[in-house]
Amino acid sequence: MDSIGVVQGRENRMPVNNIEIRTENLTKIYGTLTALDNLNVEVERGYIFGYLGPNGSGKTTTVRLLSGLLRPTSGTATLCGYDIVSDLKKVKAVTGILPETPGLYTKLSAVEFLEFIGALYDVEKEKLHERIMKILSILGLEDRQDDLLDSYSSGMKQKVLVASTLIHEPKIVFLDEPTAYLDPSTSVLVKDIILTLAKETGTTFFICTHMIDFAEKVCDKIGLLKAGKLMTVGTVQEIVEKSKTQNLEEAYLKIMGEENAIEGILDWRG
Amino acid sequence: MERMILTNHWLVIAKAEYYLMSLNYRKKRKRTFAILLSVSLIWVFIAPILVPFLLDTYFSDYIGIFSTELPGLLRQYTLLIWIIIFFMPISNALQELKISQWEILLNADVSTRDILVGRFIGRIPHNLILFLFAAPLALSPLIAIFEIPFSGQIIMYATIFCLIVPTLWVSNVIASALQTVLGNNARGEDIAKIVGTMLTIILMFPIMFSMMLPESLAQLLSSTFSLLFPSTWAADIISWTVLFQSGTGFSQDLIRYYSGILIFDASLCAVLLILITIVFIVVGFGTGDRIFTFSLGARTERITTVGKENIIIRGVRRVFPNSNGTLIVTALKEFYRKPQNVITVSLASIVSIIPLLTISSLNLGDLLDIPILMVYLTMVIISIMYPFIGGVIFGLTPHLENKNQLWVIRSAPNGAGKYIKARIISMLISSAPMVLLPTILIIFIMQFFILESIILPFVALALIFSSMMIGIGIGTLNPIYEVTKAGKKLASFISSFGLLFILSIVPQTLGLEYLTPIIGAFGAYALLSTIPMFFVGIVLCWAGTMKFGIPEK
Repeated sequence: MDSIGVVQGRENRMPVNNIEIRTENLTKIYGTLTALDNLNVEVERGYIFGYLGPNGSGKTTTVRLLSGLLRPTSGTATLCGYDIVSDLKKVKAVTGILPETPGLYTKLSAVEFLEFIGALYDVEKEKLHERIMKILSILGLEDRQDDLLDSYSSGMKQKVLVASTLIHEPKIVFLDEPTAYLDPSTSVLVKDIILTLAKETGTTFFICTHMIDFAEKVCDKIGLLKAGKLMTVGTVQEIVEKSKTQNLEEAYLKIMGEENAIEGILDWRG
Repeated sequence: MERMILTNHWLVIAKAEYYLMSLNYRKKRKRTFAILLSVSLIWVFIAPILVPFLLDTYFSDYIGIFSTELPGLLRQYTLLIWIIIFFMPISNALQELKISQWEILLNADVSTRDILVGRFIGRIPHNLILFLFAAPLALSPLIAIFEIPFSGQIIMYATIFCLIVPTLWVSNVIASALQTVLGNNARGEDIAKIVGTMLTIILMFPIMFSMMLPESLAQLLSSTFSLLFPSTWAADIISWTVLFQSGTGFSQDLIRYYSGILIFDASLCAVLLILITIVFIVVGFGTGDRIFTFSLGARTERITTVGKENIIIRGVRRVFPNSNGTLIVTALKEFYRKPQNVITVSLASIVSIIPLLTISSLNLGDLLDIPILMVYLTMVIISIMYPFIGGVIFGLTPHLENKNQLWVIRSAPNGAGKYIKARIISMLISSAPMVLLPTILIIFIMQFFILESIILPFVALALIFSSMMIGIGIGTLNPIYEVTKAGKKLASFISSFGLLFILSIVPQTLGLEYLTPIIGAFGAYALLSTIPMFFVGIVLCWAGTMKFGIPEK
């Protein structure tokens, strides 16, 4: 099993041995489709794990399995030492999830929605209110905090979702395409929030993304997933070296077998 | 610049619609469709043969019932089918304004008429199979009981077909017109949901009416007034076919009696049906691109800012100061900010005063001097009406917009349990005054004894609470979202309504005899109306919460 605690992409990081996420042959099969095939991965406390792969490769399935929303077909996984099947409530208590498709309540304001999420996680009332105000202010939503979410733009909705993921201070955060819909400055802000939380509070992040650039800058460790199979795990440097390429983008294309995709790019025109 | 001309736009749209309709068997579309079509065609022929075996010993009874009530019953069932076919596509279309789809179509310079025709034709394969399965179900008992020959069967199927096709077409036109109008409105989505909810309610009433008072509806449809409905013309053609092609034969007296009800003869009904078909088709074609046109108008967004919390919300927060209170408050705010829910609650308040109106308008004469009888009568009426408010109106109203919201709830520890609990309490806060107020008014008007006056409000609360748990249980076992199609909502409505109806009648029928001598008629009725419903509600709600919370397989 690949478990590397080498610092990459950030400063002042020391290798640690506390494993927060551990999967053993985790598999999910839908009918005849194997969405996830024997996933073995370990992520240490306070690390940021980037999970890269093309659409439909099984990233969202992995996140749903690890956060206890889906039941695995076989294999096991533990989060902070809790089993995802037998310790479901504890797993949910220590995790926060930013889903790929937003489940916002459109007839609530940002403050009300975050209150709702905080209440679901039993966050103390005074603490919750203080956190909501601060996080909305950091995300630049304080002027619109009392407007109904149905009038928000996609980017603003994504900001609220990011806030809802962090509001109960989870130990492990799953982010499924966190920078989707976000403008460049907000992407940078979200990146900084992730880095600061990991560094200062030891929060572990498991991030699904298509943004290679984002992963390269933020993640300590990266896993490349193709058709449900984990192709490789390691730091950016290790993946680049192993694949004998120049950078992560090239490594990604080579491992995914898409490096020649540029050839025949106009063939569809007939 | 050269303009690219796309031909057969409607065909492209029809194909897309067909793919959408056959989504469930998308991997083997052609093969599955061929199998379904073959099976449904075989079904047309074997259904009338199977019916006598299924009806078995009661076969002769059915001949009696059908013979005496044939025109009214046929008009009743045809009207129900017609209403469902007419309103359901409109209700479905209004749940979802397809603005993003229009943008693609309009970008390719597609006309409104193309969209109308394409959508209609794309649904034909799906609707044909539905027709071939459903029509024999409806007609086979008649064919079997009255020994209708093949020629008569052809007339019957053709009649139903002629009723359904133009109805579907005109329903498609109205749905499209409504989408066009509402799509260009800043509050279009909210208005669409209001109209969709109202249509679902309209759909529910005739079904409810036919379940509770089938004979009254049959009598109503035997009147001249019903001759205005196309469904009546179709039903009457079938009645005439049965009269003149039946192998069992009808007495001259019965034929004379039927002629008095049917009024229009078969040929006139057929002419009317054909005429209305032509009118529907012509009007549909004519309106598309003329009266309404799909276009991308300036849809301005409206920003709504929430105000200060009102006294009720503040009161709830004071009573429930913990996180449960926040969840209840959120549930209340979310529920009442949706206009379609406000419509539903208005309906509930109208239904809630029916017992009061019924009791105060009854001409009871000497019966008023027998207080226990009045208490008993009140109990009977509220035990039928209040569960409808709790179970169907409040219990079944969807609180989640889509499945993504369910993921959010499930990701919290015990999220499903907390959510359902908050939902029950928030709905109880909404519905309790609605039943308590009329009940207390009845108590004052009728001047009941103290004991009954104390117990009756509790019975009302128990009824609303128990029935609400039944509705919520059914709605969570088979999750209903706002975007859920009208058909699935209707299925949940029928199962909830059926179960509540049974629980409002059966326990009393079975248990009154044994309990009355022990605790008196009033006590027995109170217990039998509430206890079974409460336990069924608890079980269903518990099962629903479990299913809501467990990880998906």
